[in-house]
Amino acid sequence: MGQSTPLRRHPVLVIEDEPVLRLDAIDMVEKAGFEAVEALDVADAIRILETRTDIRIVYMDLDMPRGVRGIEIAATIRNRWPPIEIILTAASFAKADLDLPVRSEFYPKPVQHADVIAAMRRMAGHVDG
Amino acid sequence: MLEAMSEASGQIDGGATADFGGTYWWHGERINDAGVILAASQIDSADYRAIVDNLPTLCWIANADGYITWYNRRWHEYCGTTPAQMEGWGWQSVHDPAVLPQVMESWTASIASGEPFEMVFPLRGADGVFRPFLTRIIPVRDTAGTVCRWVGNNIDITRQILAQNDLRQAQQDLQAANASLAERQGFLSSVLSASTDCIKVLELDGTLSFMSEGGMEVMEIGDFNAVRGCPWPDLMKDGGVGLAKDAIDAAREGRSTVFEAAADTYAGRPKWWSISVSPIRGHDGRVERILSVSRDITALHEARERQDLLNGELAHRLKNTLSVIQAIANQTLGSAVNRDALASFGSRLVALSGAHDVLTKQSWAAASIADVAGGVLGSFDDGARILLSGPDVAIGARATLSLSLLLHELATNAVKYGALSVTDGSVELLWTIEHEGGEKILSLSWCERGGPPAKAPSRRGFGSRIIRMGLTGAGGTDIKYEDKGLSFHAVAPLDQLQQS
Repeated sequence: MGQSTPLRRHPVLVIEDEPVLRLDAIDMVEKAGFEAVEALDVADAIRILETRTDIRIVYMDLDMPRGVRGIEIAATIRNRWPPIEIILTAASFAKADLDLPVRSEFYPKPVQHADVIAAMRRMAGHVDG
Repeated sequence: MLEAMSEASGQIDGGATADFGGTYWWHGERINDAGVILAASQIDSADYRAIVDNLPTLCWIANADGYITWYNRRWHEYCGTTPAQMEGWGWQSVHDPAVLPQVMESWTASIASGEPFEMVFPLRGADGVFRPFLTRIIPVRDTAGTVCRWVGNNIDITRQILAQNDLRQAQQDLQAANASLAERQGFLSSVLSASTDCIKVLELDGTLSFMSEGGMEVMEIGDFNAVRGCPWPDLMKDGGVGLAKDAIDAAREGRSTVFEAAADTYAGRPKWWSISVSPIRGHDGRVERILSVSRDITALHEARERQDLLNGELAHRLKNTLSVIQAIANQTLGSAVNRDALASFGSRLVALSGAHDVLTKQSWAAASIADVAGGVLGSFDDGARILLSGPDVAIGARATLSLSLLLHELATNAVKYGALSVTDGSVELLWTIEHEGGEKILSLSWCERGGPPAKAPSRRGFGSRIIRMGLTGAGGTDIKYEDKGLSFHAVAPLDQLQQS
């Protein structure tokens, strides 16, 4: 349907271990009219996704140093929860160098909030449709 | 120089002409044409004289005590002397005074011992020139075995001596040439073996036929026979095989090439090499063999990889930091300023970050204008509406940052108010290099078409100030707000833009 305003507050999982960036991302998600669910790291995110089955959009920073490579986690989420839409960001890669999971979008750091919000709204439209 | 005596033709005394040659001596007996042996009484003394006078050598006869009693005619012809002058020991006058004492010593020794004499010494000709003569003197003994005569014979060996001298000179020359060749060879081979480059000679089919000593050391090859005749490209790893084959093809066509490739040493140690391949030409100018010189650049290569890694890490941290700055600005100013201002701030940070991306690719040294413009304008272009056109020009790090911000402001303005605010509008970004009195000037123009009429802004914000500062921050810009659209033109000396 491609609506610019969602009918209900879609939950968006923000996976970001850098506190300042997490705060800003949550702020961005909420100002765009979504419900922000925060995950402090990948393990936290997996736990949340296992319980919050209503989450359909994930915004994730690939630059988290602890544990497995971010891009592999993104691939895991894609395989385990196929309906979930994935938005990725990173400072260390250019888009061309990444092997992105299918149906995912990538925005290099620093991100333009407007671009990310537009992507979330697009995805929310797919979810509703 | 010695000069050979001209050999007189066989002239004979008039009196002997009639029967000389008609009879000859055979085992001490006189024989006529018919082979009939004549009686001893029939032997003509004139025949003897004709023979001895016409002998093609100088000869003489001495008494047992060495007193010379007779010389043949050739002696006198050569020396220009008379029998009276020469008789006894008179011959000393035609000898070289420097050699005479030695001659005297040997000759008196022979007279005393009765042993034959042999020596080469010079005799002065009638023309005053000394020529070398091989002299042999033998004793004639009576039936009791006592020496009763000496018979001497002197042969002009000027030609032989000359030939011998020539031969000796040729031998010396040859020795000298050999020595210098050996020295040169030694020099070349010491240069070859001293080089830490691996110097190889390949046949035209690319097989190895020579490797320098130093080369075997760096390649860790103990015995060249282990690799002799091997196809050289096969020693490379990965893409190096193709590069080596291309280099051989080029060398066969007479061209030299340089490339870098990975290859393990013979002992299996991984290395990187800078390899120069060039043709070796024969005398006729045709390529006969191929020279390949490999230098171990493993350390350089590793340093470059570390540098790339470090640059990547630096860029990563910088972009992360810009993200954090953006987040702090959003959180600090979010309630105090309007959203548009924060969005402008964010997008300027993104433009700055994009400039850093372009620079990181070139180790922060330089970036091409096309890369910079493509990086900044890519996110504004929703369908080939921004046309980029210009030569391949590299600019320095500072100019890359200012051009990025400049283009970002122009594009932001075009999206908000200009050609990119409507669906049919388009932008043309052109840059050229112009020559002005020996100086190269970069001229850059941004031309919007198909949008609403351009209007000068009522307020001068940061964006329009960035635009006015131009390529170097020192102006050199011209903006026209026209009905057909905005056009912007900036010029700056290229060398200023290329300074880091």
